[in-house]
Formats: sequence, C-alpha cells, structure tokens
Amino acid sequence: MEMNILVCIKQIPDVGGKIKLSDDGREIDSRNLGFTISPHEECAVEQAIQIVKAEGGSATVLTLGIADSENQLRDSLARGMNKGVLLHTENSNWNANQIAHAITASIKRMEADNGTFDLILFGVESADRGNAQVGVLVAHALDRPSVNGINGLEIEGDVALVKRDSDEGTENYELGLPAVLSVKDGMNLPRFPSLKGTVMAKKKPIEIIAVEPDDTGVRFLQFERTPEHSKQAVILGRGPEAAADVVQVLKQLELVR
Amino acid sequence: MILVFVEHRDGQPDVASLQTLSFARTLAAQTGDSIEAVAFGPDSLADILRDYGVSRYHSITDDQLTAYACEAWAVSLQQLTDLLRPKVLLAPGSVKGNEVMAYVGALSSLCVVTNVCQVSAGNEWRITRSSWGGGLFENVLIEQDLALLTLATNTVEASENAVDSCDTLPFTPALQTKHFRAQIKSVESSVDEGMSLKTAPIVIGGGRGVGSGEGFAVLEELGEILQAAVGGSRVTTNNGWRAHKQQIGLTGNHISPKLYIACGISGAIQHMAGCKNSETILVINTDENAPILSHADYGVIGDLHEIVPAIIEELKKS
Repeated sequence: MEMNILVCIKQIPDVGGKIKLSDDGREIDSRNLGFTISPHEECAVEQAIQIVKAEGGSATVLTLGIADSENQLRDSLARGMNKGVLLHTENSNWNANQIAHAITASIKRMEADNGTFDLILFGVESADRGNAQVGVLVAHALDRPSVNGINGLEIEGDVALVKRDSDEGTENYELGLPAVLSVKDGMNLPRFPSLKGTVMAKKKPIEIIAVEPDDTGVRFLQFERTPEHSKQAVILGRGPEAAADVVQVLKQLELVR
Repeated sequence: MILVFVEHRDGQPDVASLQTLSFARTLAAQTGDSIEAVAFGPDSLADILRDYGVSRYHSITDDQLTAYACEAWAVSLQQLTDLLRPKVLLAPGSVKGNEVMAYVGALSSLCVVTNVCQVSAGNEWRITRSSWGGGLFENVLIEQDLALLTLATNTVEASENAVDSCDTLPFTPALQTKHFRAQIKSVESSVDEGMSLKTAPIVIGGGRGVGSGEGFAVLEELGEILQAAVGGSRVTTNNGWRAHKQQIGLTGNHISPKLYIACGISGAIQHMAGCKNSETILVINTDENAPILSHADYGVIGDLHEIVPAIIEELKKS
C-alpha cells in the first residue's frame, strides 16, 4: 500500500572531540563548527526512503530548530525525501515536552490537509540532549501505538513488523498502522546524498512555520563540563620501533605473559 | 515517599534497577523519605528488595501483563502513582525504563528527566543529567510536584542496605485493550558470536585510519593473538567496513575492558561515550594532537599499518 511517511530530525553541531560552551553555559559554541543530524535520525530518513521506494507514497522530513536547520532538511531531501517542514524557533533550548507539543500540533494540521501519516519516524534519542522521549510523547498525543529504539522494520499491508534489541534479546512487535516508531542507529546503512539528488533538493518544497515554546514543569539552567580526564597519554614512541614498549605495557597490565 | 520502578528477570532485579535503588537511598537520606518499589513481578521479589532498603513493594498483577506492553505498564504505574502520591518516581535509564517513563510523563502531562546523575533536593529541586552522550552535564530545575526521573546507568554502584521487613502489596490496574496495541509477540534470545565487545578483557578498535574493510585484517590478527574483541568507530560501520553490531560508541556498544587499543581513531565525543569506561586506553594514531590522546594512558604516534604488524612480530617473539 502507498505509504505516507513523516520523519522528524534534529540539527546538532558537529562537535568532534571537544565541546566548547558559550560564556553563560546555555549554548554550544558552534561558531567554528558544521552541523549534522543524529545518527539514529539518519537511519530513520534512510528507512523512509526505502519504504517509499518499495511501496510508493511520499516521505516528508520535519525539523524544529533555528533557520539554519533548513540545511539538514535539504540534506534529507537530497537523499530522497520528498518535501520538508521547518518549525522555526529562535533558539534550540527546548525540552522534550515543548518539542513534542509543537510537532504534534503541526502534524495535526498537516494531516487535516493531506491525510494521515501511516508512519511517523523519529531517532531514538538526539545526539545532543538525548532525552529519548519525543517519539513516545507524540504517539500518545496522537493516540497511536509506538515502540522506541527499533532495530528492524517491515511493512506488511497495514501492519508494521518491528524488532527491537533489549537485554532479553530481540523483541518482536506487530503494530497496526498508523504508528509512531523511533529508530536506532544500525537498522540500515544510510546513503549519502548524490550530486543529482543535491541539485534536485534545491527545487523541493520546504514549508516554514514559526513556533513558540509553551510552559512546562522543567526549566533548563545551563550545561556544565564533566570533570575532564585531562589525562595526557604517555607517548611510548613513534613508528614500529615502539612495538617492544607496547608489549611491555601489555605485560605490566598482566594481559600477556 | 520515593517510588522506584524495578525491572527483573525471572524474579531477580537487574543491575540497573539495583543501582536505582541505591541512588534512591542517597536521595531519601536528603529528603527524609521512605523508599517503596513497584514491579511487574512475583511476590518473592520482596526478599531482595528488603536487602536494598525497600519497606513496601507494590506488585502489579494483571492477567494480560504476561508480556511487556509499554502503554499498559505506563498506565499501571500512573494509576499507582496517583494513588500513592510519591514525591519521586524513579526508574532505571534502560530501554524499557526510559520508554515507560516517557509514557508516564505523557499520561500525566508532566516532564520526565532522563539519564539523571545527581539530585539536589532543597526548596527547589535541581537535577544534573547526562547530556551529549556523557560529554556534558545539563542542569535543570523541577517545577512540578512529582519528579519523574530515570537514572543514567552506572552512576552509582549497587549496594545492599537492608531494612527489617518489606511488605508485598498487590495492585491491580484498570487496563483497556488499546493499552496492549504495542505488546511483545515473541523474543529471540541473542546468540553470542565470537569474543564479545562487552565482555572481552581486551578490545581493539579501528577508526578512519584503518582505511578499508580489508584494513581490519591486521587488527583481527592482533585480536586473535591477544584473544581480544575487535570493533570499530561509527565511520567504519557507516562505510560498511565493519558490521554495525561491532560499533563502539554512543549509538553502538558501550565497552569497559581492562585495555582498549584504539587504532586510527581521533576520539570524537560520540566515540568516547562508548569507551570511556575502559580501565586503560592505548592509542595508535598518526596525529599527535588527536583528541583521544587526552583521554588515553598510552600513545604510539605513527601509522597503525606499520605499528600493529610490528606488535604482532614482537608478541610472537616472546
């Protein structure tokens, strides 16, 4: 059956090895950084593209963030998503409930115009805050079934066959569509945007809607550095000549005799 | 009162739940509260819970609850919470713990703070949670009457502190069919393939510097000699050089070996999130300014494709 899919992604600074904070600690100092999306969401985008390719239909990508987040929408469009929605905000210090409220309201409006999304996909947690809740909150608000952190998904008619790894092993679920699922990295191997895709993405529509956070029971104060390891590794040497010293370390640690 | 959600397997609480009980005790010492526990489990759990400081155990029973169903579990917890009115509902930050608590938050229109590391309970409740995969702390204030929290794993050690007795109190929730629309149909137990990244005493990790899937052969050879598990950074799994199951990092395996040998890995925070619990880290990298060296104990500067074969030679000698 033709699938109407929505994937929700989040723009995050590509911090590399060290995170710099703004003076008040409320933002990541991203002046010299590029931006990306969370790995989990990359897999959600890939999954949506694969499903629409197999079943037909349409895949929309949505994000809530600052104006620059449009670049992450374009990236997903270049990979093969059909259209984009930017819920435009002044800053990114929104908590999970605020994000979920804004996304839910926007989904309800889109569905009133274009029909129900058979599948709404999220990443299991964003790579920055990692609240791991938005998918569940949206599922509840829309009164749809949901599983968090899935590792496998197959569509059979109007049923989603879902796999999720937990401590017990691999859990199997069968969810009636429409459903809300949050995807875990590793479910597929995300494609890179092609040159042709990048060119085509420029012509694909992106709707921009301004949104404001509502009041909730948790207030963000600031980020704080974790106690730095501030270790500096003992350099055993350079090149293959250091091999004997490496073996010496292995012996000291009693890992070889 | 502090209410702790406990997960168990065949009547034995899991480590994350026992850690959560220990964390609850330090919180209870701050607030002067008692600790009660809730589980979808047998009456016999009470004996173990008593050893971990729990005075009352609420055992949720319902015939339909044989297999996990997130919504049904959350509705049950929410109904019990409405009845008991605790100050805090605390759960382990596990797959199910986070999922169920997110639903409890949704049902009660409250915020949930996940991956909590520290709670200061004064006039205002100030919570420190793990953010950016453990790369930063995030401080938040709770401005709602009930604190819904999940605990970051390995924040505290599980330690016993027995109380005199623990009463078991059955609780039967009012559930509807729709609460079971996402319920486990079956579970396939996982089969261990070779040396496991999670349990091996030595882990060897390869990153961008390995260069290709074939490039891992030399790490595999070293792995065989040292009886080590071999994994890779996200770059290597994303490029298809390694299977995703072998990813070390925030979105892959979290390892804690005696020794982690990181080869050709620069040390992005997402990677460090998966390996920071290693006892000793030895780095092989061409770049002497690689960020991973400020998390490591030992470093060798140079090309892993020259250095690792030399280590193999040296090991064969001795």
